[in-house]
Amino acid sequence: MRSMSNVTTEAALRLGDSGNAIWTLAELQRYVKDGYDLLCRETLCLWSQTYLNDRAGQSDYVLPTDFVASDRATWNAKPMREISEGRLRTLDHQYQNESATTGKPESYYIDGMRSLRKHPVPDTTVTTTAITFPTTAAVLNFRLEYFRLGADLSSYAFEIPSSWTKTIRHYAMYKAYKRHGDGFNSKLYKHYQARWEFDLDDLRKARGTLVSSRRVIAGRRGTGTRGRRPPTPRLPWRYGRIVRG
Amino acid sequence: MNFGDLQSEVFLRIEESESSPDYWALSEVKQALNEGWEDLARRTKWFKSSVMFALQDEVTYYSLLDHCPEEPICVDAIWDLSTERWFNHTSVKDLEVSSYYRWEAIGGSSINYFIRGALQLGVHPYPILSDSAHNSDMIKVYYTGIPFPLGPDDYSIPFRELELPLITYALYDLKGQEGEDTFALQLWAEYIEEANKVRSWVRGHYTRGIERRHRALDE
Repeated sequence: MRSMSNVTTEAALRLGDSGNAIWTLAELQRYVKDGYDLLCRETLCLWSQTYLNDRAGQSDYVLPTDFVASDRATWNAKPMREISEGRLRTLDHQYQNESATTGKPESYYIDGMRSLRKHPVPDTTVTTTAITFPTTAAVLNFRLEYFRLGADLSSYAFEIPSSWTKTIRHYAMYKAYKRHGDGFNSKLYKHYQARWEFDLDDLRKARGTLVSSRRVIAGRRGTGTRGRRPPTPRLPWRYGRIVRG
Repeated sequence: MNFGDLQSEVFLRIEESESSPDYWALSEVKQALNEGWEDLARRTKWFKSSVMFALQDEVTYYSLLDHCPEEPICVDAIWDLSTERWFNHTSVKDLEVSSYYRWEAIGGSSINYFIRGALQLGVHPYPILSDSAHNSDMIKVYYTGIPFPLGPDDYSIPFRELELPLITYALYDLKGQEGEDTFALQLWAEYIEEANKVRSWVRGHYTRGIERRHRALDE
């Protein structure tokens, strides 16, 4: 696995500034970190899961610090509905009253940037720490599956394939050339911006191919996973008409 | 052409002596060619590979990075050696809709695969190796990936179509490092044109071939 120093060294070499006279090491490291975070956000490549332990009478829970987007959540391996606040308000006007609706959580919504609200509010406290598979043994707890950012690059290596780190290098070079002052180069920043965007798009497409199903489902046209209406029922073509024998 | 020939070609075009280069070291030329090798594989998806590994008892998820020797771009198909069948490619949403909603709790002989994030391979039902008709727990994963870097000089480039884009990319990379921006960007435009040709060529050969193979085996 490659590290932050590999990518910053390569970027500095290609910028023609191995001695960091124009772009300091800290600046390049910042661009690399930004690129890594952006790549994880845009491609949703890193996936993880954790228990957000139910606590009796508590509806709001702090999301993990590396949280990017929720994939799905389960309670006792049963999928939970991700619901909008507006929809929840329609279903239960007392949803914010923590003592009004309690029980086993059935739905949740992401409330702001770092908080998740369970509904109904859990009525029991559970402590589960380790994720165990398979989930045959009933784990009566809230498990969140989510897309995340990579671990801190100052202590850990990249968690992505090494060829993807080239994409991050292009991002760092694009940002370095774009910065006004010494080293600004409009032609090259546009070039590296185009390379970064192409690579990102390519990774997104590759991930899309991986995640979406190719299987054809009855009642749906094509092979996508989005639901479509089944075809409109029609009467047989001869219905109600006299057909010559 | 082999890797050594490619290096000679690049040295010739940057007007350097291969035996005693002035400005560019041999390692830098090799690195530039390998950068192109990687970029071309990502752009054209020409490299297909496969790996066999054993499913573990009651384990749903497998890291593609840990199991595939070359870096994977995407999984094309999975063959189960014990049941001699292709796995179905599915998604979690489909499993929830079309299968039992607590699909994670179902164990048995795996018949479906899905991907979480970009690098986690999941199988469904989760394998129970003791109670099924398994005589082997091996699966073969066919995938598109990035080939290993070019190493020995006598390594032959598998297709003639790859040679020119590789040389052009190496020149682009070296000229870019040298600070000849305009020339480097001109070489980049040439490289893209050549890589697009290779991509169309690959699409015409490989992709159709694999789909045809799957259809034939399904029948």
